Amino acid sequence: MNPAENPTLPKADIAQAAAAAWLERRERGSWTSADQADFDTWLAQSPAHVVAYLRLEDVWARANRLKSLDRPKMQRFLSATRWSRVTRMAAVLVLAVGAGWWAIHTYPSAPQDAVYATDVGQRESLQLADGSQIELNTDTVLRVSRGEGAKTVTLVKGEAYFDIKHNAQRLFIVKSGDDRVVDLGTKFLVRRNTDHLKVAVFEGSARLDAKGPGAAMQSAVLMPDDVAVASGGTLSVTRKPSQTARDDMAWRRGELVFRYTTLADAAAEFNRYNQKKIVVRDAQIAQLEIGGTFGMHDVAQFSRLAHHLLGVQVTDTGTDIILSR
Amino acid sequence: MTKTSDIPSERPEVDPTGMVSAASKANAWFVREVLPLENLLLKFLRRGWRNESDVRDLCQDVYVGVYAAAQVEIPVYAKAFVFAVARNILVERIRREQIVSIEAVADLEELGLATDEPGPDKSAIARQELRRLQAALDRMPKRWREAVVMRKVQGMSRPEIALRLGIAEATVSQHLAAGMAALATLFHDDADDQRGHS
Repeated sequence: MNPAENPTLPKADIAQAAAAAWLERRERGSWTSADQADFDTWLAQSPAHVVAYLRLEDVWARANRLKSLDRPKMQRFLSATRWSRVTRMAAVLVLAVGAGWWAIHTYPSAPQDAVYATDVGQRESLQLADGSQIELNTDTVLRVSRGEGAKTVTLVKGEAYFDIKHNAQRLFIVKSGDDRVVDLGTKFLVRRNTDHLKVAVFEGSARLDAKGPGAAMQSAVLMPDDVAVASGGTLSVTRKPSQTARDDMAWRRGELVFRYTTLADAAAEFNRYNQKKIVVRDAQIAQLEIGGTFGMHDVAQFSRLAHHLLGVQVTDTGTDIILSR
Repeated sequence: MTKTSDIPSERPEVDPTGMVSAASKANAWFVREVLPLENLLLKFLRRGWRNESDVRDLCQDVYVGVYAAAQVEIPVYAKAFVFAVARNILVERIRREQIVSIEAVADLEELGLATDEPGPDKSAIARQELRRLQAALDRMPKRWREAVVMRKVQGMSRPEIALRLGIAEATVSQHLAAGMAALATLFHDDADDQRGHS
């Protein structure tokens, strides 16, 4: 191997810092083919880059073991006072830099709401400090209020799945329009449609308060397998077979499940997740029924099946897929 | 992502480097057989080379040499091969810089490094690994550690970490990258630990 060109340069540290930046960037998501090309170029520049990257990636994967840490141990890491020498040095530097920096980092910017949003076809999962989990489906906007008292989340649009660690002292409330869902220790799904709100409970229970403009509030306590729809202050509850209710959560696995679903409904469901839209051209075709489990982005597979099963014509215009007679 | 907010989608895990398959065999071997030797390798290099500031670079030189060889043919005895490369590099450096160092040519057998003896069983390795990871976290600056723990242990996304720590998302990314690098170094190298507590 070649001796170092410039032995005074800490090249190992440079390679390592670059490798860490790449690893972090890859993990962040929104990784494009241009990014991949840049990454490939960087790797090809030197075997030192490859080994530095492999080394960091290996330990970062091993760090998954840390998930087995119990809560007290983990807390220790989050609020540890056992400072290493490095940290002490860093602290001295911070103090030297001055109070301005300190203020920014000690007091987070005004306690404003945090807004989370997903684009068409994207999903996102959030973990709250108390261990509760929220999964955002496609094309969804969710606002998390940071105030004291009840934890309030507003579903502005779209759909989200909630797995809430119940705390009687601090209620968890999902607001959407005039309606709200109060968690009573539960897992539930909330979907905001233009004219109604749909809530399905899978575990525990939740209370749905429906309120129309100027109307009195209606409430219902929902139990597992209950599906409720609130629309303009009226509220109706039905019980779905568990399996059917669970089909509505297939998106969490990246799938869509249809059972005797009309082509129109199936197309509408696919269109929630994809930029390339399925257009059903014919009213009769729209009422044909189809079933099956599909990858949510697999429009091609779906239209192929519709063609073979239902005999519809499939035309791909590049921007749309048109189903016709 | 819409403009209302900026949650980049989080990948649960980084996928393999995606390099061509010929290289990926060498990559897998390198990760499995060579990287676990880093702590021993650093001890060996420190014995042979007094200038601590060169040790990380020497280690990288060894890695590059071993990796290059593995792309041609994967060595049968990983440990013996790694330390043979390490010794050659040390000898080369000593010759080039005209330094005499007795320790540099210390017998490999004396260090008990030359043979590929069977290691401890899997569960012992897992426990030991967790302990080393914890020790590495302990020795990491707080900001980095917090970001790493929130991401790795609690599975939080970057926006959520930013929210919790009251810092910008770009800063979270910086802390994570720094944490990734520090974790690898501290995980492999317990020397700072020993010196720090002695």
